[in-house]
Amino acid sequence: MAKAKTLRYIFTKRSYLLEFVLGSFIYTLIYLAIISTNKFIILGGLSEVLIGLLIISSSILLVIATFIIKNASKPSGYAGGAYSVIVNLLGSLFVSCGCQAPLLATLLYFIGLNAVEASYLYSFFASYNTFILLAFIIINIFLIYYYLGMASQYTKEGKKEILGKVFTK
Amino acid sequence: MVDSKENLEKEIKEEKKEEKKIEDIVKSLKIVSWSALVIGVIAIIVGILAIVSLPKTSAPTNVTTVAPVTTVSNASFSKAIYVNGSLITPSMSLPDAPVITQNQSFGSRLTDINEPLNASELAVINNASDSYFEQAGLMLLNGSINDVGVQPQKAPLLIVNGKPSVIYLGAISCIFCGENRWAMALALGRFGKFNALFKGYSSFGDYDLPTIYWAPAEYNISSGVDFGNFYNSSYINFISMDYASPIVQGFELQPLSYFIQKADSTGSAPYVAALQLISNLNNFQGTPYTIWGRFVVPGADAVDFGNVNPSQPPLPLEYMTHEQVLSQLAHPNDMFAWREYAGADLYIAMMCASINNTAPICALPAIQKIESVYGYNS
Repeated sequence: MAKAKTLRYIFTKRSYLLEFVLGSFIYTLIYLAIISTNKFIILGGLSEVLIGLLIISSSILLVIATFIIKNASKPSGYAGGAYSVIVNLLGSLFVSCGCQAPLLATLLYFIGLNAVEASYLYSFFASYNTFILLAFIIINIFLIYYYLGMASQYTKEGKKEILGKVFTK
Repeated sequence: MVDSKENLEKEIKEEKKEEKKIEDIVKSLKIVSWSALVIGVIAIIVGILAIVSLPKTSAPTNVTTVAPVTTVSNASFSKAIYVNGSLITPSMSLPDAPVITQNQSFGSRLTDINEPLNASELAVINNASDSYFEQAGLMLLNGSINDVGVQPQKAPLLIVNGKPSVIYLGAISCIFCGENRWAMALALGRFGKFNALFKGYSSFGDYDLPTIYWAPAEYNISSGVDFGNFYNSSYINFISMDYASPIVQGFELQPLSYFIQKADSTGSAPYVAALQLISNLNNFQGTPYTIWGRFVVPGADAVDFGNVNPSQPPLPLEYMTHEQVLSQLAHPNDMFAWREYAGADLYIAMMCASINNTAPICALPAIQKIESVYGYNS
């Protein structure tokens, strides 16, 4: 219950709402930039829905992580923020893999893989990118839940719940 | 009174213990957080570097003023690779992948899959008029055709039994391979003849486009490679391989090592050499992948899915039959057909540049102009 209230509390603050909108916008731009590197890709409805969900969930995670970073006396929440960025980059990268995967292939050659090694990776990503995106979204949802628990100790509702637990002890 | 004091002390001790525990967790979280942040920054830097170093994939829109620049120097690929050995001639039919005769609905149809093209259909490919190639070439050069052309890279010539080779690596499930085979067939038909071609489709997950297969496809197999074709030419060889997977599913591909292993098992030296070459070039980035003499084309000839060319589904080509596609190619009067001919022109120009313009098609003015404007003959 405290988690839901914390989420509502965060998103009623104008600055966090703005961060969410801005985050989603930037993530969409990153996705569009990455996808534009592959002219040989035609995205189906499912991929677009999944990438939309990934962008939204990553932005929510970013906002919660920022809330924790801002309110915690000790450094925490950075992992969530970093993960939010990484998962978006990777998600967009994997969606850009179709019959061809020029960006991912270039990246793999750039880090020193040869054609055979690189083809292992991008043939896998191209064949299973829908499932990989789905996995990312699920992980995002779990992280949002975990970080909301962390964030709730900095809100009134969360503190009340903690105090309530202490007193019932 | 004493009891409550002891209890209080106990509680304080426990709370302190818990605080220490939390502090330890925070400490470890701190390490995770910072390492994640570092990984994130590195990922962004690598991403930016990759985008910057990515070779351009599209041909210039104004080809008369801007000639494409090849990314690999001529000197590295001046030596040809010589191989002798028999090419692969597949069987004309597959018992496990029979022709499907029943009519099925667009998007999930396999109607006539693996059926050989009849004589008049085959003639559309084998006997396409030079005038169509000329007109499409001129349209490409004056910029009235777009979405055609990929930046080629240089490769050494693979000379099999004394003739230079065209190498194709694709997948039956792949939408762009499906589109690309039409242009490829038109181009190859100018250097020789197909004794057989087969009706096919891209996979259901890749829009079920009507296409041609070089050989009957193992469209039911969980994983395989369809090697070989029925092509004959006195100028060139055609080495073709398509990854086969269930056509009713989506796009699937296996790594290069899988193709190499399968080619080894065929015992065909030219196919083994072709895959060795692809592997050594280190520029394979998916399907279709073709080598036209001295030029690697790492992608399809065009984005061509109908007269109107949407980048999003529905794709007009998905709702066309093989007969309709062949009829458009036989009498081109729309953008879809002109783009296919223009894509074929680029392939022809690359091949002509690789065989010193010895084939009659190389004398076509548009082909010679493409060779010089695109820098293929330099």
